[in-house]
Amino acid sequence: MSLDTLNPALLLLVFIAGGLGSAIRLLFSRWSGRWPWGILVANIAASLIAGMTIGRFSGSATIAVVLVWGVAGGLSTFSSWAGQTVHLIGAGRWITAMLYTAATVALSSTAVYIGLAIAAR
Amino acid sequence: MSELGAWDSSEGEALAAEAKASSTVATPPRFAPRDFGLVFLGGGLGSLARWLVAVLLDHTIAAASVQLVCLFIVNLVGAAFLGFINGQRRFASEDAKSFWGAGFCGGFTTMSGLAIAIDSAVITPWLTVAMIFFGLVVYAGGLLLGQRGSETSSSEASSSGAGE
Repeated sequence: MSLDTLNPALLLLVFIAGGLGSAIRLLFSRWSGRWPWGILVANIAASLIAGMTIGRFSGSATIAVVLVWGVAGGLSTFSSWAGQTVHLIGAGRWITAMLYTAATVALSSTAVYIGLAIAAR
Repeated sequence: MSELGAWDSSEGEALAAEAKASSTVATPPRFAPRDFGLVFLGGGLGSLARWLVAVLLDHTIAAASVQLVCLFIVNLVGAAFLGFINGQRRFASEDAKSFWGAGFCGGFTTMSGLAIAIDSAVITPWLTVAMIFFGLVVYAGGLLLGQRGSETSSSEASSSGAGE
């Protein structure tokens, strides 16, 4: 990454890709029972996309920026995980909060590995 | 539609009651086309801002630590801001929560970036735990700050109203 990459077309592409990822996350967020499944799945899906992109398009900086920083970055969220976990703790659901956190981090990082493996095939 | 989906901060008390009742979190989030538009715009801006932070950091600090520093900045600032939004009455409208919460904060922060950093050993296990811990702390701090600000502004409004 360098300041040379800050051309208007790439800025626009990152904006659109990030917006699309965020809008898709809004759809996922509807899936919410006793666990916030929607955001968990959105984070895993975004990590899978990021892994596949890094593995498949590492030679193309533009595609990597748009898909990893735009789509995957917009689809995944740290702030929503934090908010949900704080509210779970506030409701006294400590075990659910810990399991949700562990699942988010473990499954997201596993999804990156799987994405890289899929791209390498 | 908030960044928390059906998990609005206003539902904290409801959640507690719901936990006792062992039922599900029921309130479905609003999904009007307007929400998608606002989330798209806010998410696009948040994602763009996150990328710009990384590009600017790339020019100011050592290359090896850019990804790590960027992750801490965007995730902790974004989590604190979302907490503030969920606590502050000025952001209580559905439109504000869609744009700033689900949109900007969701797009600005990233879990996939954290997952990549974990897999590539850019972030150590202890730093990962620190990010998780401080993510919760700054969200709660932002929430309290927002609620306190709302109380202050409402008490000021009522006292100025009493003087009229």
